[in-house]
Amino acid sequence: MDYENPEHRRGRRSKSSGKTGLVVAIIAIVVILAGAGIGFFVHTSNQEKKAAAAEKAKKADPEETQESYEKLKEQVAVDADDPMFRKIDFAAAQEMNPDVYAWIWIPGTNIDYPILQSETEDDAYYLNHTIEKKEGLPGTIYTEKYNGKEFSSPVTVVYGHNMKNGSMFADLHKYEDRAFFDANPYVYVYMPEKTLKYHIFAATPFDDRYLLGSYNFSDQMEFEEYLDELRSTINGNVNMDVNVSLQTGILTLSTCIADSANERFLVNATLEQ
Amino acid sequence: MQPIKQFDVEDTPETRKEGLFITYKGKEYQYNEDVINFLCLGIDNSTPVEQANEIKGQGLADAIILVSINVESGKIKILAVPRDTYVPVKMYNDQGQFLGEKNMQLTLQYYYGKTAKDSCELMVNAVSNLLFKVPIQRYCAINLEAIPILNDAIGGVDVQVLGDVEVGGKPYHAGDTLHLQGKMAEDYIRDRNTDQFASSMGRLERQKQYMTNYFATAMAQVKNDLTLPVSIYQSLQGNMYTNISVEDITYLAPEMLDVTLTAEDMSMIPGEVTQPDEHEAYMVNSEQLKELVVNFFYTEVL
Repeated sequence: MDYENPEHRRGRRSKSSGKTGLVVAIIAIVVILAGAGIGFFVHTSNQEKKAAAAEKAKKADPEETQESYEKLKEQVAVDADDPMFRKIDFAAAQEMNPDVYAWIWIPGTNIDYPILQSETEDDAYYLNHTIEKKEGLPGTIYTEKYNGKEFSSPVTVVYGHNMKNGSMFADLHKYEDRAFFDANPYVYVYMPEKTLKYHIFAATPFDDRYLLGSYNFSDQMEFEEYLDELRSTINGNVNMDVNVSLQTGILTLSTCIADSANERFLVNATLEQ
Repeated sequence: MQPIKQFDVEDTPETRKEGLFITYKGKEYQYNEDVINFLCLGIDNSTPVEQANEIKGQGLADAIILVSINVESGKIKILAVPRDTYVPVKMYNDQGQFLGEKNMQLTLQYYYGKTAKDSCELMVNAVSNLLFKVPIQRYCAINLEAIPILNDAIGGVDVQVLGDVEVGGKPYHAGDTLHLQGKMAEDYIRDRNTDQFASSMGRLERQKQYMTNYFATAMAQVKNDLTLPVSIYQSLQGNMYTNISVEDITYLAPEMLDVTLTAEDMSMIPGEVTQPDEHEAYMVNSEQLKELVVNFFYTEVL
């Protein structure tokens, strides 16, 4: 159809030109809109892909995060025969995230991670943000501001997720086994100026109370009460030969229990004298 | 103090399901709320316990027995805790200031209380911890003077001697029959040859036997005279420190008229005697104790 030349159309088919012209116009509009639509859609789709890719870069992935940790470990940890003499290059680790302030290693487990504490965000930030500040699992191994960064509180609670891929604090559950509990009794905490050696005395399921808010641990009797509760577990492992006092303190490592939302699994250690 | 029936476990998150629950070997158990636990202590200190309130050095807890009464079924169970059971003992100085804890013989925990009340509460705490936090609702500490009073209040107790023992300065041997009166009862349940390894275990057997026989005799007497438990309770004033009230006794006595106590109802903390230093220590077998505690105090949730 010769609708490229409206002059011609109007001249020759003046009678029907109104009706036909309307149809043509409608088709033209539809075609143009459709084309534009497709174009728009294609354009949007590309935008979304880009946005999604950008979003994905922000979202955490447990496997990728674990790879980052492996790389970080290679880069910053210098092993020694005696774990007490292992060195961590904190300056290098802090380049990844300045909130890294300590490092935890439990020989015999996969637990060998930096410990973070946020300066600016809520304490729970690292429950749901990785060391690369990506949102989601596996979070980080972290402590709360209430405990400070010196590991000098009567009770310091360190949190970590119970990851299905065995990363973060999943290996704490190995302490449910008595033989493992007996064979792997030490926890090392590295800090820029010193290394602390802790002796594990109780590994037990515990209710999900917010520990630091439920006890006043600087009160000797409340500290003793918590200690008694940890050691009087019927469903956990305890080493009564480890002396625990307010002076040696308690390091509580806390993680989830897969099918028991109201409970936590706690591995508890005290400073080796 | 609250009436005995209203005894509740503390409102901790474990008890939110209205009760005290534990998980053991993958199964869920509930603490039997009908069971009231009484910690009964025999104190080796001849000063009247109430006077001892003011005196440093409460003495030692020589006999440690947990009596569990099921107020619904009327059943009684007794768990003997060896005095030398090795547990973390909380130490305090004369001012009642906490000094720390150390693994020692449970008997020593009583010594560290500033008053009889403190001592009893420290013992309750230590025994509850040993038994994986089983609630202990009542305690009762009697001294040696109380034994002849208790013994004679029911007209004395007959026993068939279990092994060599010295009573009233005379030696007796296995199989001899004795009617224990006055101080004889104390001799029978306290005699111990400290030169002999694990001698406190033989004594524990005699104590179990004495309790069984005492209980049988007492039950027969109480059936004739319902006021007997209260009058015994009153006769012990000055030689007893307890948080059991007269109301508790009058509530419990009628519940227990048909109760029998046999040797099968008595258990002992599983473990073995060792000698880490000049004193003997009783080392608990923790896994066996877990089994015992679950069977003794808990019912499986089905």
